[in-house]
This record gives sequence, C-alpha cells and structure tokens, in this order.
Amino acid sequence: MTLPFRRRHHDDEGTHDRARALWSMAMLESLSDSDREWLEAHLASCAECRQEHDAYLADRRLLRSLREQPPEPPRDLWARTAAAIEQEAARHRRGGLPIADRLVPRQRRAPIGALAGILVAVVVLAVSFVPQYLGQPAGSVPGSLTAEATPEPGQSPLDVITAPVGYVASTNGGTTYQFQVANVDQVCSSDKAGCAPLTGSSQATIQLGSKPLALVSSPTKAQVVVINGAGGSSAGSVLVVPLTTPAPGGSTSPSTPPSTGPTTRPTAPPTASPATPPSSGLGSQPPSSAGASESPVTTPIPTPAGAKSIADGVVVVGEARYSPDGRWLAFSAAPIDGSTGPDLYVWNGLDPLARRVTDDHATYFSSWLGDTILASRLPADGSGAPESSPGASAGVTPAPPSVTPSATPSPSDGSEASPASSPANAPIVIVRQPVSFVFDPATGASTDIPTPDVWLPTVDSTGRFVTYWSGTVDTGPAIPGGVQLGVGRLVLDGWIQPLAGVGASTGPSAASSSGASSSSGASASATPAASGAIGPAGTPIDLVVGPISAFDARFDPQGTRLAVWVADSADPTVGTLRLVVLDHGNGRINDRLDPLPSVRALKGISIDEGRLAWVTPPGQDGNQSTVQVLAWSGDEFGQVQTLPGAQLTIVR
Amino acid sequence: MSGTWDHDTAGAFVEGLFARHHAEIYAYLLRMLRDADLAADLTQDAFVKAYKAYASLQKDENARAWLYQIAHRVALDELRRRRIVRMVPLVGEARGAAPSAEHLSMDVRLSGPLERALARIPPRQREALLLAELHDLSGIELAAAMGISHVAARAILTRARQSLRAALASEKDAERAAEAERDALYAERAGNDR
Repeated sequence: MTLPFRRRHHDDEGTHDRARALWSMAMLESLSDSDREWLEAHLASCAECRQEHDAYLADRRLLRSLREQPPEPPRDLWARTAAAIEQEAARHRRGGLPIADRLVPRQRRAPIGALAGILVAVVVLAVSFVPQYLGQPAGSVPGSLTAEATPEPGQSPLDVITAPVGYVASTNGGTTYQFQVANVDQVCSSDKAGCAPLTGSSQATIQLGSKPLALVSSPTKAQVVVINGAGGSSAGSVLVVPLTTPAPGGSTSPSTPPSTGPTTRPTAPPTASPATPPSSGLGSQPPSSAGASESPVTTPIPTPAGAKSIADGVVVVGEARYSPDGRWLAFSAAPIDGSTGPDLYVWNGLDPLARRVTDDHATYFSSWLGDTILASRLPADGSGAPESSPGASAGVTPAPPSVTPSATPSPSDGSEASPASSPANAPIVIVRQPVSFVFDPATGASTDIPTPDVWLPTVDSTGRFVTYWSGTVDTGPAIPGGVQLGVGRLVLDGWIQPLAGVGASTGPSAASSSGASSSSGASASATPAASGAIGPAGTPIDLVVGPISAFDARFDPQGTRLAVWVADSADPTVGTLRLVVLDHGNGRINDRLDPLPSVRALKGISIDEGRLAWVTPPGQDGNQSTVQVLAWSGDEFGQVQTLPGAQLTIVR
Repeated sequence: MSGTWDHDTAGAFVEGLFARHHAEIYAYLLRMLRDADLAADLTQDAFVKAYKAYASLQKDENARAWLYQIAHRVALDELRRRRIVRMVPLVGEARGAAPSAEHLSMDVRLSGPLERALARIPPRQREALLLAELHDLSGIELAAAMGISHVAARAILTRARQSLRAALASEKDAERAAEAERDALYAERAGNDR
C-alpha cells in the first residue's frame, strides 16, 4: 500500500507524518493489519501524537454534527426536475438523435443555409421602436414587422411583453443598411428547446459610406443618429438621419433615393483635419476608431438620404444618448486630429449644430438624469480643476483640485512614472481622481457631485439606484487610447438627490436632508448622505472588482433591471454581460434572481422595456455571431436569437 | 448498461435516483456553494445531466458516486462560469473583498467557527471533507466523485484534516482574542464608572 505521506530527513517527523496519514485513512476506510498495528504501537509510545489524534477525532465529531441539521430541499424540486427531464425526453423523441448530437448547442443546428447567397454584414440596432412600430399593424407593409419567435411544436414558450428589437443589415457591401425590426413576444427558457430563430423585416434603408461606429435611435423612432468613426467618407461626423419606411407594396428600397454626393456638413468647433484618430473614451466605450478600418469605401460614397450633420471633424467618445423626452442629444467628442481630449456636446434638435458646452477637453458624457446630464471629467494635469465650462457658470462652484499629488505608474505598466509636467518628462501613467457632475443643458447650470472618484455614473429612472466606477482613472501616453480605468470597482449604490437640486424633476429619490446643491469645498470623505448634496449614497455594493478595462452599465426604463457589460482586458470589444435584478422594495439586489449570470457579448448592449439585447462574439462553438435577446415577464425570463451572421455589431 | 438511449428507462432510473439521493445532493451543493436557490437549481441540473448521461453509468451500484461526480462537475462549472469576469455574488449586502471563484459562494453568511474554518480551507480539501464525513463516501467513491485516483483522494483528505485543524485553531484564537478585547473594554468602562 502506498501511503500519502512525505518522508523527511528527520526520521521522527517522517514517523509522525505516517501516523497522521494512517489515522486519517482509518477515518475513511479500514487499514491493513500491519498498518493498524503500527499505528497503535506508535500512538502508545507518543503522547503528543495521541493528543493530536484525539483532536482530529474531535474535529471529525464536530464536522459530523452538521448532519444533525440537514438542509431541507425545496418541495417543488422534483416537479421542476421532472419537467426539465420531460423536456429532454420530448426533445429526444422529436429528434431521435444520439446523445452526443442532441447536446450540440442550438446555434449549430440553426438553418444556416437560409443565409446562403446573401452577403450579410449585419449591424444590429437594438433600440426600441415601440411607439412607431407597434402602431403599425403587422403585415401592413409587405414583409414587415413580423415577430418570428414562434416556438417549435411541443415547446412551452414564455409569453413576454412585446419587446421590439431593431437592427440594421448591410446587403450591399457595407454601403446600404436596412433596418429590420422584430417584435419579441415569446421566448424560451435557457434549459428548454430553442425558439425558432428571431427574424425581422426591413423597415427602412439608409446609405452609409462606411460602417458606422454606432447608431442611436431617437425616442420617437423617427430618426437615427449615425456616429461615424475616424475613417470612411463621413469620417468624424455625427449625422441625424430620418427613418423612412418602404412604400406599401415596395421592397426594401428607401422611400427617398439617397444622394450620391457628399452631404454639405456644417462644421463643429473642432476643425477637421485628416490626422490620426484621437484618443478615445473608456467606461462605456473603448477606443472609437474601430469602425474606421472596416467596410472598404467605394466612390462615389452615398450619404444617407436627408442626413444632417450636427458635428463634424470630431470622433465621439463614449455613448451618445437622447434625453428621455427626446428633446436633447448629448455626447462627448474629441477633435479628429487628436489634438485635445473630449468635450461635452448637446444638440436640441432645432439648432443646426451640436453645441459644445465644455472646453476642458476632459469631459465624458455618461447618461441622462431626467432632463439633465450626468458626465465625468478628469482634472487637468497637476493644475487642479479644469477650466469651467462656458455654459456652466450659473451658481456653480468648480470642484477643488483632485489630481493625485504624485503620479504613480500603472501596476500593469511596470515602468517608472514621474509627475513632471513638461512634455520631455511627461509621466507614462498619471492616476487621476475623476469628478462627476450634473449639467442642465437648458440653463447651463452644473453641480459637482461631492463624492470623489465617481466615474461615469448612471442613475435609474426612479432615482433610487446609481451605478458607477468607484475608483481612479489612469491617463498617459503609455495607455492605449490615452485613458483607462485605474484602481477601483464597479458598484451599485443608492442615489441621493435634493429636491431643489439640479434635475429635481427626475422622480423620487432617496431621502436627503437639505436642498443644497453646491458641492463647494467638499472633502474627500464627503458623501451626499452626509452633506445633503447630490450623488451616491455611499453604501456601494460591488458589481465588478477591478482591474477592468471598460464597462457599460445601463438600467432598463423601469429601473428594475441593470445590465452590466465588462470588457475583456485583452480585447475591449469583447466582454462579459450580466443582468442584475433590483428590488425596489428593500433597495437591494434581488439575489434570488440571476437570469443572466454571465454570457459573452460584444461591446454594445441595448436594454429597454422588457428585454436586453446583445451580440455574441463570433467563434463560439464555431459559429458566427448572433443577436441574442433576453426578455422577461415579471420574474420569468427567456431568450431568443437570430440566425448567425457575420460582422454583427450591436448599436446602442 | 446498453449504449442505446432509452428515455423511459433512463427517466424511471433517475426518478428513483432522485427519490433516494436528492436531499443529500442538495445538501452537498448547498454546503459547497452556500446559496440555497443556486443549490436547488444545480440539483435539478445534476439530475437532468444524470438523465442525459444515463448511458455512461456502468453499474447501478455505482450510481451514488456517479451522481456525486455529476454534482461535483455541476458545481465546478458554475464556479468557473462565474470566473469569466470577477463579478461579485449578488448578496445585496455590504461591500466585500475581491472574491476568488472558489469563494464566490462561501464568503457570505458564515454562521459559526466550524463553517468559517471550512470556508478557509482550499476548496478541493473542503470538498473531500464534506464528501467523506458528511456524505459517507468511501475512499473509492470519493476518488470517483472528485475525478482523481484513490491515492490522491486519500492524500487530499489527509491534508484537509490538517487544514481544518489549523483553521479551527485560528478561529478559536480569534474568538479568544475578541473575548479578551471585550473583557478589557468592559473593565475599562467599569473603571471609568467608578
């Protein structure tokens, strides 16, 4: 018999080790006669060993005492298990396949042949088209708006609130994009046989010269904002394109022929120049130049029919979002030549151009808080607070300087960094403490959030929860894109908003003791809960612990679901997605529901009423990407997906 | 067991297996993961997997260890799935330290020194202890459930007992220190009152 003990140089130690191994083994199974006799002899001669042996036996009794209170399984466990087994049996009976084949993921079984002969470069616009498209009867336009989540016979799909998902498919080498919309009203739970693939029908066509960086739908669904990257014919532009629907009886061609010449575009403050793309944002979007190199451009390049450029010569950094009422569009953008960092822009839908409202070149749009904007800024190098924005002077006290006194090298960098400010001695990595603030685009008033190290906050529609990066942000030439998340964690927190504070119209919020909105002189330890100012309550729950490179965290319109996407450090275009269910009754995460604990997803998620949509990375199970939709009805969840396609990219 | 998959036979077999062992499988998963709902879900998953893998069971008398092996893999799959990104378990409570995957479900609501000590030892050692002492798996069954050799199983169990011994001692030391601190505080307050 081979004994699991180590021989040591010291014979006594080896003997004791053997004794321990033997009495441990004796607790598991019978010893051989020779081993038992040896152990008894050893214990008889070694008082210390006897004492230790007795202690082990006591531990064992203690451990076994846990048997006295066996946990009670749920009473419906068999019912659930039997149903799941029956589901498997039904699948087996229907398919009659060997076990190994039956275990192949359903993506692999999808009828890929249906796509044969079609060059599909799909850009998914997973935005809500509820008002416009639900008002249009299915079938009123040939081939349109048919929700194709029909379950296979014998399945038990989950009926959900109709959750429209729109997407754009390129069918002409990347210059023509057709909007597709599908209403998801039935989904299948993950452990059941899959629903039929989700398909949509063409609703509108737009002409683009190159693959856009992102498309964002307006709340009215009447127009879409096309955000172009640093390359292509419309490089550095933000276009507002009216959505047109095909005429009845028509096919997928646009109702208005696209123009073939370049659109006359007004020029936004940063002048355009053909140069290298600027550094980009982090948090919700990694570097934004990705779209530039894709979809080779042919000439002449068509531009979207009726397109109106509201910014030119810039590259959008991070998210672009309409306000909930649809009156405003906000985004951050940097000059396309990379000469400065990003500033905050707003567009009210009436002006010809988006208006730049900060000039610190270090402001990053995060989200809308009612009719105000939540944004974050990185204080200038060693100079304290950034310059105040031109439109942000109404009763606003700039935040105190918050650059860390000494720059430190990034742990991942490993190189020495010095805080010197001269270009020659520019530090490789500067650790910065971000400042977030609330900005009212109508009045230009802004209010700093006193809590330090709050980066890219997003508040739910009820004003109860906020999610943000709680930590530092690193900048410097050694960092790809110029900025990255530093030391910290992505958290969920309560939200404190004074009734008289900026954006007080956003709905109920956590209790606040005063209406003061100024954050002047806030100390590092100040929290809104203590000061009565606006900001996180200071009781954060960790969602993701760093280091992470980028994230995107978005609430659903009801504020009861939070989608959290975290980028991989190696490739920020791919990450992991989770859906968190929030309990407004107790203000906590509902940890009994974890409907989407962890799935792989490309950058760019869309969460709307009753559904979350994302794109799977290509290569999973040898497949191309698919658009996945998780939809829910109450506390029941299910999924449906499209057929696989190449170059799927979700658009916010 | 024939290689032909007969769902009626498999269903009946798994139903009987469930009746005999579901409580202990649930208890094992609960002790490993410390999440009642998750343990229930994974218990269900384990029996569904058993149903699907029925053809792989060589002898009915090995069914229990085979079932534990499935449960063990289900639990590990769950932990590994959560490790893709270090998302924190949804405890809905206060901020916690960065968890390792193995601690995802073991770092909350520890009720006593024994459970705290169990949570402190390496997961594979904890698993061996639970299976051997609470679920009465023999050495051979333990090895099968953990997917390792018999010798390796015994070695892990020996180390597990040593680890538990040390962890319990540490817990007791911590308790004694806390008591001493409390006593000192009370004594100080009593002195001040005088």
